[in-house]
Amino acid sequence: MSTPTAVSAASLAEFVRATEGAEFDDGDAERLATILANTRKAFAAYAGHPRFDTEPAGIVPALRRLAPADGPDGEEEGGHRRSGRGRS
Amino acid sequence: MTSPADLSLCEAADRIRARELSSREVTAACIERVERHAETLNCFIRFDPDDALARADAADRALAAGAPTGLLHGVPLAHKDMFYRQGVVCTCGSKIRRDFVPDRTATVLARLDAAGALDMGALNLSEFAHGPTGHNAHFGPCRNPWNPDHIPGGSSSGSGAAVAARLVHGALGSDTGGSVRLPAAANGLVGIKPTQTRVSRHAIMGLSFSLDNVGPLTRTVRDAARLLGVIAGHDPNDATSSTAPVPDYEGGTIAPDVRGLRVGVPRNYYYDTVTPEVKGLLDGSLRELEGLGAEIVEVAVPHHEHVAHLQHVVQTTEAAALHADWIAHRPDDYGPQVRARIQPGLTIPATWYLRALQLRPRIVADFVEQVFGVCDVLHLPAIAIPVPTVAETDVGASRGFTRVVASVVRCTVPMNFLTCPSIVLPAGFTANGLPCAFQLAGRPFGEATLFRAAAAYEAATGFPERAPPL
Repeated sequence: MSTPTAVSAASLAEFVRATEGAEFDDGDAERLATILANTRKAFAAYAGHPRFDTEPAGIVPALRRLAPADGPDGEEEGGHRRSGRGRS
Repeated sequence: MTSPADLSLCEAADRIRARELSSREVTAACIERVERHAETLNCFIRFDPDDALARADAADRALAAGAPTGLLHGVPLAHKDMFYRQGVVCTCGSKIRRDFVPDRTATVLARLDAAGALDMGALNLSEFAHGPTGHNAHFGPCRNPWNPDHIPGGSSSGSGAAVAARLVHGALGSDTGGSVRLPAAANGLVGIKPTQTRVSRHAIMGLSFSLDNVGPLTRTVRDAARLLGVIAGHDPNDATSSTAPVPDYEGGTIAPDVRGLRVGVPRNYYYDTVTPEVKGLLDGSLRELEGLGAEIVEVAVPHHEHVAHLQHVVQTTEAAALHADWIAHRPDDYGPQVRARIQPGLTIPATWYLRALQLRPRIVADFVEQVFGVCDVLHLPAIAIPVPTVAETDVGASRGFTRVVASVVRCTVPMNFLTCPSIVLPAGFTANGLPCAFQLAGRPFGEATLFRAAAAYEAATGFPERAPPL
């Protein structure tokens, strides 16, 4: 299957002109291709993980799980958190 | 007598409240400094001395009348020109918004106002907060007070230069990939990027709403703790802001103690491009912490081979969404590098953007568990090379400019994607006479631990005593 990294600079330029009205030159196409190639590698590294199915696409709920609910961070043992786990 | 402008933020605030100094004396001293140095440094976009003096007089009158005073009563500050104030032009460092007048005030400015701070004007920045060097195609490059031939770092370039040059007692910046920490590092200051969601982003210019943070740049750790304590906390106007309680950051900086604190040193990624000279200074900062009783431990940092790339997808796409109409209709009103950085985001598939965001919580959880399971704070480089010159980094949108950008932000970008707080502290000076710095990063909402460790290091090294040779 064709991926965006395989799209030519000319067709990207045409696509962006048609959809966004913006100019798009060879340099833009090259930078986009680099971004997409790097991201493909990252996705490949995480592909198939079961948590991927249900995780919401945002960080706010995840930070709620990590936030202290009832006081400042890590006040145990002389002010330094000794546990490796976040509070829930 | 030392000029009141040389006092730290807390010293100035405390002496004004004790009526040992008037707000007018402090403000006039800062204005005199601005008038002497702002042109060389090009750090102000808007300067309001008459308004600042009028507000200083009002602050003095309120104090004399016994009115309640806040923690920043009568202290002159100035901020990156991207925090909206109702009815006052906010350029965002751009030609496009040169005449933009907001209809609302940023929550962070409202909180500083409520604490009694004065606002001396608006500080230079990279156009639309894009760019880690401090170049600006419309307002000219901001310059480093330690040597004006060198960059002040960006994108909060004016904040770094103005605070280091003692033109104001503190400043706010924003940090999407290092924009508070890089200027803090390049100017020998303290700067903190707080935990994502710790500080409201209401009525500030957005760059990338998943990654943007607001943080202070100051001369001392206690100053940073006080400013963050004032601006942090839930804001009903920003639904993403955390409801977690705000600890007494400043209290933790008094008589700090790092005995038994586990300081992690990364085994991978961060030192790949650090020069020997910078590494020597970073090692010295570690020895200081060890000498204070901290335990140094090596740590493998997971996911870092992918974090910067995932961050890039998120940032570029969100920036393109915010700028799409202007890019389409006013492309020539952008500086060439800023337009070139934003434009590829118009074409990244929505599914790729969402997959990157979907991976983020899992990566953050793994990172926090694996790293902060074995250490309390993580010691990291800030800028891997000695601070370069304005000319060396004046690459515009030339071929290869992305390599320059990536090399400057390599050590700061990960903590934005990972949401963790990170404070920058001076580690000394490289042979070119410019400051060198390190970061201490902590678990989400672990700012208080960072402030305690930073204050202990500061007390041992006395770094705030050194001022630029202006």
